[in-house]
Amino acid sequence: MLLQPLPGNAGGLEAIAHHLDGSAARFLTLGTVARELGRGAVWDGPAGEAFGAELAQLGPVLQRVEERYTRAAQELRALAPAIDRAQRVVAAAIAQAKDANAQIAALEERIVTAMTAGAEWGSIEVLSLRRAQQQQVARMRAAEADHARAWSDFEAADARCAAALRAVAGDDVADPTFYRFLHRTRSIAETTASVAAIVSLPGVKQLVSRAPVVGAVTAVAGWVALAAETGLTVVYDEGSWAVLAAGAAGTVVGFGGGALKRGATAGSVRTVRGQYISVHRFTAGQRARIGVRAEAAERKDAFLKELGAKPRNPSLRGRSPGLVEGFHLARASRAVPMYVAGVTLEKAPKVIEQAQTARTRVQELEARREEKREQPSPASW
Amino acid sequence: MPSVRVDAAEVTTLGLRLLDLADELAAQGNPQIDAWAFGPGQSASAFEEVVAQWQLHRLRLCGALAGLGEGAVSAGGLYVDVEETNGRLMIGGDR
Repeated sequence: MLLQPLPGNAGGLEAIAHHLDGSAARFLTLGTVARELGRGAVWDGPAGEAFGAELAQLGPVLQRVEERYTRAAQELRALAPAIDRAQRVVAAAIAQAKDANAQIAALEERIVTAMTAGAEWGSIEVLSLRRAQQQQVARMRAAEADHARAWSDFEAADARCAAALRAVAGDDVADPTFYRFLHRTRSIAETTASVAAIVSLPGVKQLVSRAPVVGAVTAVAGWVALAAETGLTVVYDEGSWAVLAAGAAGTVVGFGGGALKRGATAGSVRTVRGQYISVHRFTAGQRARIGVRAEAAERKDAFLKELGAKPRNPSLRGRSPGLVEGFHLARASRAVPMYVAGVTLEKAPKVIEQAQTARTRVQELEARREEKREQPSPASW
Repeated sequence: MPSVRVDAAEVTTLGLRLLDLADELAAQGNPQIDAWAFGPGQSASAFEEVVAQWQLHRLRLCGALAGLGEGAVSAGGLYVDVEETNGRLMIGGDR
């Protein structure tokens, strides 16, 4: 029996737990400041109040996420030593089994040599070699038992950890089932539909024409991907209207697809190149989306107008003396970094772009302030 | 009740902190990359549920932080502009 090594890395788990704690600490700080603003702070002016209220709404979500990450880190820390222990036993068992196996083979060789030289099966020499061989077989069996026991201990620890993590994941910030379903569906269908691009190549097309079921599968996959995109865009404001229009135009649609295509391309015109260009007629979903954006823009405009109409420093009265300090702590460079395993989110570039625009604005202000400092003061005139 | 006055620079700084947090939150990606550390059991997929399957709230949180950050930076900048204009009008300076 070939004993398998146990994959996994306790140090890796500790590192992930460390980063989860870092994320949790930041969520806690941010949540505390947001809650403080919601409970105790009184802003001067409606724009400030709107800002405080928006910030305060984030509090409960941040608290849930903080709890989620803290508990996950605890579970990972509990699993890490279990993996480490099991791996040590498994590694020792593999080494012992390998050594015992080699000894058995060597003793076998010596028995054959002794018997070739004339020794009897029942002779003292052969009996002694056979006894030694039996001891090595026993060592091998013991190693196999140790390996099985360690593996079983790991499986028990893993099952406990998985159950605890799943309990943590079942809180009220978890993605709704329908949302997960849409994401999973889109991902699977897109992978399948991408085959259509290969299928459309001249040589491949001829081959596939003999197997029409392939074309049907890719067409259905394209339709399913489009349906999932529609769900994410209309229900969760997360998909892309551009993808929807282009997808509806390019997908071979069957039952129900015509309505989908009309819905996705409504408010658009098709150019001679076959591309859709949006005009000012919108579907209900688009109207809803635009409504949300318009409301946000209006709120922002009101915010700025309010501040612009009263050119004085904003005043915050209440129990948040550490407002900026709190946020500074939440983003301190020496703090444990957040848990980051790769950048895959579709919306990340938008946020980064927003941040970049704002930072450019700050740089402009700093440059102007610097310029102002260099100018002679009225006293020196 | 204590009163805390936050000046234009602080409002701008607050905006930047919020944007930094939005950045970090948006950058949280695929936990499958770390699955190797969990070994062959079920914990890796359960961990993925914990970290990845709150994407809807995460994206909304991210958008809210970015929006508030951008608003604060714009407001802070607006104050600086107004202060500078007022300064020029009241005490003279470069026009």
